[in-house]
Amino acid sequence: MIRERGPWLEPRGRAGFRVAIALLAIVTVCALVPQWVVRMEPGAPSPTACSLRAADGGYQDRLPPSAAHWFGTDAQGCDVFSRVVHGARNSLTIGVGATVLSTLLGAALGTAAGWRGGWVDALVRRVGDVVLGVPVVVGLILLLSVLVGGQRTATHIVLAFTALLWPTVARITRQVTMAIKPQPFIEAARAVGAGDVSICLRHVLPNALPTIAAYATTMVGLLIGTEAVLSFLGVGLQSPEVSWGLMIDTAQVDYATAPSLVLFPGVFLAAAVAGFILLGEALGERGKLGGAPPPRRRVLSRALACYAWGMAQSDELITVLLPEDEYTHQPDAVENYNESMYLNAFDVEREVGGWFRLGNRVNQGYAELSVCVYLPGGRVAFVYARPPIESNDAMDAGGLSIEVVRPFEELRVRYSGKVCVLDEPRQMADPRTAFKQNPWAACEVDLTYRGVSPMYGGRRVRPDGSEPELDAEQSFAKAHYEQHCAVTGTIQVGDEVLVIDGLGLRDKSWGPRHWQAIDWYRWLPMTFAPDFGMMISVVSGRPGGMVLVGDRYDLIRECTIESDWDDDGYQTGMRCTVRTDHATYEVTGSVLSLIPLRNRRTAPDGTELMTRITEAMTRFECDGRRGIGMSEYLDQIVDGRPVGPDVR
Amino acid sequence: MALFVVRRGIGAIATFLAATALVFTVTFALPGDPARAIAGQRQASQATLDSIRERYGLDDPLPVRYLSWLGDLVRGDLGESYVSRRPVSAILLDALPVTATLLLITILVEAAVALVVGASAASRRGRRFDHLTVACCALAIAAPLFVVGSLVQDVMGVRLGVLPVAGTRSGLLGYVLPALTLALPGMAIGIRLVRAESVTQLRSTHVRTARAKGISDGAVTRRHVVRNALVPFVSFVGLEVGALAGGTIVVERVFNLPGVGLAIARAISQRDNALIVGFTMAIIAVYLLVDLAVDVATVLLDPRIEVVR
Repeated sequence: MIRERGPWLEPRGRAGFRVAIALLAIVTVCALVPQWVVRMEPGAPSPTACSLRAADGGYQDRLPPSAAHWFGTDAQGCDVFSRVVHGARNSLTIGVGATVLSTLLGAALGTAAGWRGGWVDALVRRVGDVVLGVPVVVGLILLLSVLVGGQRTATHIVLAFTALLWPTVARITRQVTMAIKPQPFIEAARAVGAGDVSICLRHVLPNALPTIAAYATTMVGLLIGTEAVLSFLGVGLQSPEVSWGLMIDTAQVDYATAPSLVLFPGVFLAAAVAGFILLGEALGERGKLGGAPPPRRRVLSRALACYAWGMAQSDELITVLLPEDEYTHQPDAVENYNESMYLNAFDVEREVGGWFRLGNRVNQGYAELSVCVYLPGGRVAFVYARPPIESNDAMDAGGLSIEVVRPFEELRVRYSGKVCVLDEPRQMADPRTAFKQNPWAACEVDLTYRGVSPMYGGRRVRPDGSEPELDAEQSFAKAHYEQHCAVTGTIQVGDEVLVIDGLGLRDKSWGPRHWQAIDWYRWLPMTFAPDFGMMISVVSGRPGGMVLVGDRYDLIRECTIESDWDDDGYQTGMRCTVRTDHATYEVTGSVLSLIPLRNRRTAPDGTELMTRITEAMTRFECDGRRGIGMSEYLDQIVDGRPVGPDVR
Repeated sequence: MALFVVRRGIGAIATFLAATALVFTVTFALPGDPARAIAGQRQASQATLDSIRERYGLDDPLPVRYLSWLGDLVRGDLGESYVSRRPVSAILLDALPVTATLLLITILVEAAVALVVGASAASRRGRRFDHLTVACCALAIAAPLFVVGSLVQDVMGVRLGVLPVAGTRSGLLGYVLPALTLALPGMAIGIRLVRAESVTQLRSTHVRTARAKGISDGAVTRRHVVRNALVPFVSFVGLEVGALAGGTIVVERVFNLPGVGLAIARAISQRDNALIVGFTMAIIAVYLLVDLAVDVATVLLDPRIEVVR
């Protein structure tokens, strides 16, 4: 709440000053560099991401505070500590922004009124009186609810504060100006020919500064409190913005059962408000003693630069996944736009299976089609083609179609075409020869995928729903998600029919893609049972993935993959250690059947870029359970060697 | 004195007119079709829009609309709620007693606690009680009302079960927790004000004289210190009404008191602009009236006239 005329600044001891500095240091660090305070979940796109859990109907209820979630999680499964820390930025931005803006406006008008007098003074005072005649919160409600029709942003709130708060600063500056105006040193300045503006800037404002600084500092605190009240009343920031007021508002109905959801943001809010008020008082005290040093410009500009840097570092992206994301999207206007779906399926008992991928590159006029079937005896039936496509309206090209029957629940994959049957799949290292020298057979695939897990991943967007900028040349995808599935149907290659009643994993990506955008990754999707599966990944050294336990995903916090290699540098097996919040897993894998693939591209500067992608059906073991899946190892080939640091 | 009251009165009326003109321009005269806004989400037919324009006089020129709106306002006609179709003034009259009761109790609590605690802290300046008071005040000002409200509700109402936590069904008892919550920040500011003023008074010559005459500490505090410290405190209470306007909305929402604040909170979520504008105009009018009354009272209470016996 704002008390714009409270005459309650009074001298306080040094203790208040120290407490204020400590509180403000904490809040400022949270606002500038929340990523230093909150650990990013490996594989999670942002520390405040949580909507992927809500998208499937919410499998995780509120959790009490624990080592993993210091403040627990809220009803959406969001980590409350992360959100509280990230909430500092909006509070501070609005508090400081509105104070700076209204102080500048008020100081300019107040100086003008005090210096010029006459009608300027009368006008400024009258308008100021009218504005002060409106209680601040009432005025804010009027401006923000009636005037701003759509989504309210921090800018709206800053402007509304400014519109209502400048008169108080104007009053202070006006008084100081009028007191200084008749002083001899002003007359002296005028005598040596200084103009009005220069006298005001050099002599009047510096004298008003200590008073204004003390008032403004207190004001930041009060504005932060008011901003939270606005969110609480429904005229402040709106979800998906992260704001202390919003958090408290959402949690307030459940106060009786989960008071911590109200208290944690409440304590931070109180700390921020108290910090600024105490600092304002300490400054006011110094101002009264006349000992306030002139503000050092360099310190100020450095602080501003620091703040700007923090804003630019903003990684406050949230993950969103909607049912319509299962269908194709409007392609971006970049040449390398890719929208791809990948699905694998295995029979854990017979150790057969396969994978299917269609990647629409509509702006290049073709789709990347891959069908790969791991037949008994180490044989692989494989085809890669680039059938032409004219639109991005469907996932259907070259005989392969992927149809979304019900988003997140059921998909159907069909293929009707030819595949090359390789007794020696490693020949695919030289695709031209391999396709020429091996027999071709007819292939019919008809598989139904039913989701057994929630969705993992999604689109990364800013809190206002906009997409972050992306360098298309350096991009692998702008959105990606995965899901474990139960798979039924048939795969027929020539005369062989594989009846599949097994498990698999599917993923979808879209956005600009060059296969060369990632140096290397190890990707291990695997299934053990309909209620137990994993995806372990290390992407350029960064661990990630998830473990399916029952019907929920535990995010992988840490993992290591240690691989064995053969003489050609292909993986033959691997040992993984995986840690989630709930358990640690040891997983060993042994490659059953492997096919090396590659992607080549000539860069704009003429360099030949080469990417190796090794696709191996792999048997996995974990805690005595046997599973099956893939080990997909991607490496850029530089100087004839894969770049992955683990490759021997 | 009479001249002062008249001058201040004219000033208040001018401020009110300017504020209403501003609010009117902002809400009713800006681009966008108010008829469509009133019709709401529905795909309104032309006939519906025409009848809405007719009903709310939206086709008249702007100054005409302002004057007729102002005339209605002066007559107490604040328009009609977009949502319930009831007159806004009727809704206001229903809600007013609740808020008035709440505010009255709040200000009484604030005044009593501020005077007693503020004066005690001042007379124990620099001692533990004084430091504790100052620290608690800083905390009370910084603590968000809506969090304190939930906390008080839970501890006093739910866990201890001593007081009703919501609504007005249990009569005045239902006001105790909301008023205590609402009084907290104002209490803190009041305490500091009285304390600061009392400290000044304690150092003054007339207190020294009184002490020299052998009057006890308590009597000095009561007769000479608090009385003089009262003057700025009265103008503070006046300002408090404005400051409490925001707090009332919060507290009434937390404690589900069917007052003016709850009606505004509800109107915000229902986008009932007619009600928001009508209620806020009423609050501004009350605020200006109180401001005027306080100014007059301050002049009447001036210690140089009043307290010298």
